Amino acid sequence: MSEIPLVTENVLDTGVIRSSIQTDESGAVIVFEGVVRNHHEGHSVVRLEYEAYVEMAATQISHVRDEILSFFGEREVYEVMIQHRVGTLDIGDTSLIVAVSAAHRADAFEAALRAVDRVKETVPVWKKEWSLDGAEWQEGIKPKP
Amino acid sequence: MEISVQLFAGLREVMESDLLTVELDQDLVSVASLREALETQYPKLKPYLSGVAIAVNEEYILSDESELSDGDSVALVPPIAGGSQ
Repeated sequence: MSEIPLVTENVLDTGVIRSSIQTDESGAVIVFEGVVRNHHEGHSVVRLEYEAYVEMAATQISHVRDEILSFFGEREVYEVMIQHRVGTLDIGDTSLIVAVSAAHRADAFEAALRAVDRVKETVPVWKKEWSLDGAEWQEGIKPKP
Repeated sequence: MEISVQLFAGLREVMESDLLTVELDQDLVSVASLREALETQYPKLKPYLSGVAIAVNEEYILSDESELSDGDSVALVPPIAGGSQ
């Protein structure tokens, strides 16, 4: 599993991520995709440019995975895989995949939601929004490690 | 002691550089004194520093009392915006 890069410029492949978390014990698999959309706070967006502090982003993604597995360990959440794309992405492109396998659906949904939230709170990624008027860095949040 | 500090995204554009060098007199340097030195040596950074997290060796530093060592990899992490909304 370690050969899957946690941060990459390549197109994300949900099939690869999904099979990396599949276990025979799993009754529920969630694959969440964060997708580039064409609007933000009332104006149009034509593309997004993602920049990361790549080494630290990978480290923080690993921490999120460990944190989720430890938090949900007794609730039979088996695997978590998170991958973030960087570079210039068009509308409809997937920028983030969070995949979770668990014995039961409620735990899988809850763990996946928490994992997405923690990615947004801790992983050093920034996005520049391109609109017809030009480009601007989107306002972010102060990291919450 | 001399510390190199990596910059990203908007901060990199403001400073027109992805790496700043900070000179410090002391041998033992806390994150708080690094912040002060950054503010003094790079006044353009001042308006941004309060919203910036400091990372050392790819981990967020939770206490400004933490001390830096030679060879540490230091970065300023401006407000983050990963994933999608």
